[in-house]
Amino acid sequence: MKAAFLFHFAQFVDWPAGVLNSGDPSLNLCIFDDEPRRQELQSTIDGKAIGARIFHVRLISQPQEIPGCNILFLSRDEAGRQTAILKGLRGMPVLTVGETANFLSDGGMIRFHIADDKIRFDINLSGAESSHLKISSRLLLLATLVTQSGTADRGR
Amino acid sequence: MRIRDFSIRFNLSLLVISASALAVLLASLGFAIYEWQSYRASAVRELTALADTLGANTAASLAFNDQRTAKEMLSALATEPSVFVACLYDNQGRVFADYRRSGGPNTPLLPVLRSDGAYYDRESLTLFRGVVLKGERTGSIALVFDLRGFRSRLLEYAKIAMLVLFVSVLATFLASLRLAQSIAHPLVQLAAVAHRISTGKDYSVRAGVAGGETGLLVDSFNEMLSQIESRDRALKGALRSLQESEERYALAARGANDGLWDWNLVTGEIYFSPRWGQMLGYSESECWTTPEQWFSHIHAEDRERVRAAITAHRDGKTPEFVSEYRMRKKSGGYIWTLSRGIAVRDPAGKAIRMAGSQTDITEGKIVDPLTRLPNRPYFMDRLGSAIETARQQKKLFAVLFVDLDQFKLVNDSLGHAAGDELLIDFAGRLRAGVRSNSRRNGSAESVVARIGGDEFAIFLGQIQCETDASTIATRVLKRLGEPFHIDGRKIFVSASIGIALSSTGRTPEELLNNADTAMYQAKTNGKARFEFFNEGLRKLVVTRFEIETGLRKAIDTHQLVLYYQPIVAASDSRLCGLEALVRWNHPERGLILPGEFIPVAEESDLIVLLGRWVLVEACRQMAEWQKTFASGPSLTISVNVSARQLSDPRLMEDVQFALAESGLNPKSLALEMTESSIMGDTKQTLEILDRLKAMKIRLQIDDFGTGYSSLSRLQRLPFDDLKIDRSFIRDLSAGNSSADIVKAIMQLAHSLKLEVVAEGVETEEQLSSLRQLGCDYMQGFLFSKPVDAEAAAGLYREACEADPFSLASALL
Repeated sequence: MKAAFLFHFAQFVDWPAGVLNSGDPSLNLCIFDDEPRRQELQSTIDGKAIGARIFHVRLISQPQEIPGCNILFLSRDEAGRQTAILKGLRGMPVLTVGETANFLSDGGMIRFHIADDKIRFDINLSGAESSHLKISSRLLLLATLVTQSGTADRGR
Repeated sequence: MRIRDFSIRFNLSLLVISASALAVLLASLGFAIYEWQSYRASAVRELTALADTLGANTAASLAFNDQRTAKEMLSALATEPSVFVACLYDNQGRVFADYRRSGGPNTPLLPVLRSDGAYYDRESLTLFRGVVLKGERTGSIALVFDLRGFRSRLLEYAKIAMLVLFVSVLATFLASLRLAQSIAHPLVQLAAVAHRISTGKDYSVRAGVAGGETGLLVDSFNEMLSQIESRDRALKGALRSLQESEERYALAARGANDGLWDWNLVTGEIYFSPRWGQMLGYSESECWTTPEQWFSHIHAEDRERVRAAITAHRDGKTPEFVSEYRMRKKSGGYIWTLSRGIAVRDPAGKAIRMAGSQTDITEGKIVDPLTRLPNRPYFMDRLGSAIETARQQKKLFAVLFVDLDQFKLVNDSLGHAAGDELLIDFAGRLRAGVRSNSRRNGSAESVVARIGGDEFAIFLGQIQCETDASTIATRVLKRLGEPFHIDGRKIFVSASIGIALSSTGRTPEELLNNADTAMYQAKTNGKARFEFFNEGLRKLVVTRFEIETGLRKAIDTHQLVLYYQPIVAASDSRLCGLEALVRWNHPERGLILPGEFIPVAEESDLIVLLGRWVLVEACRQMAEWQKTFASGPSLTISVNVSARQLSDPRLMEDVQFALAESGLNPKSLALEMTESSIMGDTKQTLEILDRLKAMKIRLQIDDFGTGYSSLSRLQRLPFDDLKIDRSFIRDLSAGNSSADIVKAIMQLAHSLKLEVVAEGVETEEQLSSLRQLGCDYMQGFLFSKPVDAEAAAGLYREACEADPFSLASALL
């Protein structure tokens, strides 16, 4: 379930021209390799097409490997280093998706939780904008909360 | 009169009313169909745009399983009054969200998911469309469009159309009543006048005046009446003058000795003038009355032609009837007549009468105007009746075919006038030669005829035996021995005669052909002589014909093959060259040797075609071998060239083509030609030989010793080799006269700087004699008979594998 939603988020986001190398059609979702559901993630969404791009799930172990990612998913298990990672990513065109309550205030872009097969999510719009990511208004319509302030404001 | 009047008006009204009704109906129907089509198309367009917008808006809801927002999105349809149901499905076909318009049908059913497209039923239009997100189909959307509003609108249209229809029918009915009245009235009057004229035959009556197109009709009608009236008068006058001219013509015809005929084609009666009957030997009391009598007297071969000419003229396809044909006389023979006639036609153009004349033209038909001898048709006719008589009375007669031997020469060198003079003189001598015979034999009948340009035929009736015919032939030939005096010159001309006895053929054509064949044989046997036709001759001719036609095909269909006979050095028997010899691989007769078909080919152009083929093929083969056996000796290929080829301007082209096509070195090509072919002529031959020599081609004299060679010419000609004819080699043994001749030839050749090839070497004895005499090359069965290309290649291979001396041992 979570895997499908991660994939759908990507469908409503446009990366700035030049970020996605036109020679390489990959769109990389990165997760840390200690994520317990990594197998499920890889088997359900890896290799799916998004428009002209191919969706890939990449496992990383170090935050240093993040620059090759287009989407970074930080699960609850990464709460310990979440603040540091998000801080390092500020302004970079990487869509960050997380689960913890303070994910948005830490500078993350989409925070979600699932209840009864339904997804609820909040979006930090200014975080996304400062990274030059465009989130479709159709996704915003579904969001429970859209916040204009966040780490981006704080960073100013 | 009232009924007719009414019917025109009624018909007109009906026509106008139905036309306008039909027009209104068709227009309404067309309008309705167009309206329906365009309404439907625009509805589908509109729905598609709606579905796409809704799909884009609900894609996120589908993706994130958010039915609430989906339903909200669909509820935006409230602004589209015609859409009363909308339904969103997920990828499993389950209903994800729906929308029903309040005020729509009471319990609208949600449509079951179908494949994309538009679907109609009586009251609605349902459109299915995919929901696509970034290229991935995430679900489907269905929109149901209410058509009831449109249907009721169409019904309104129909009501209006019916009203318009009723009004227009009423209006046209009223209008047509007046129209019909104005058109029909003058027509009815005109009809009345026409009726009066046709019953009263009074062409001076005229119809009343009217305006417009009907007035034009009335004017034309009156004009026509005037024309009929004047033509009626003219016809009567013409008939009178025709009768007068007919009488005049009859008088003139009697003066010109023509027969007249006048045939009434309607009754079938025919009139023939008395002179007609006289021409055929009938008395005035034996006059004919039917056309069949005429046709039955026409020669069977001409009858259909005459009938066809008459029919053609009667049908108006020819301006007059003219025909020349033969008619049987009462006494049995035929006269040639020329008939002319012309048809009289009724106003419709149908021939009702034919009349004309008939003239005796026999004189002009059977006599050759130049020599005053009977011509070919007469001769064949005469021959026909002679065959008939001979069969009944078991008598023998002969046909002589006489052909001048050098007529073309005279004609070409002295001109046509001289040629004509010669023919006249010649004809006189023929006649004299034959007549003296008739006198001697008393009653025997004979005919001399000219049957072609320089061809004459003699018919000798009632001879006792072959000798009678040969006596005449001899006498004719003897008379020709005296010179002709033409154009102030003395000319000697001979003729060849072929004789066919009546027992050798059944038809005139066959007999004349046989005589022709014999004549041909006489020419072949040396001219200025005669030959009798016999069956052997016929077979010979047939075989020649078969060979000639077959050979032509053989060249085209690759039935010809080349064989090769080795030519070896006399000193050590090493292979030096090959002579190409043509064979005909006949599909039925097997391999035919050149002796059988080359002479036939030489008499026609075929030898040039054949020669060309041999030349090209031989060069190609030798070039291929030289490439294959590049390490071996470079052999020469010898090809025979006939006299006719030598005098053909294409020879040079052919040689150049053969060399260019094969890439063969000209030094490897040798052309063999016989003494007679080079000695006959002339500057031209010498020129050709010089040109060939200049190309570095080897030239060889073939069959030396069988013809007549002028030593002085031999000295001047650019030859390289001399081939001694096999007849000298055959009798060769030390010390006999052949050996002396061969020795003399070799000395002659060597002093002329020619190398000597001995042909037909078959024994060891001949070999050693020739070596002793200093012969350069040899060819013959002792070394190898002519072999096919494969075997020849084998010989070539041996020659290049072994050292020069081992080939000798292989061959010996």
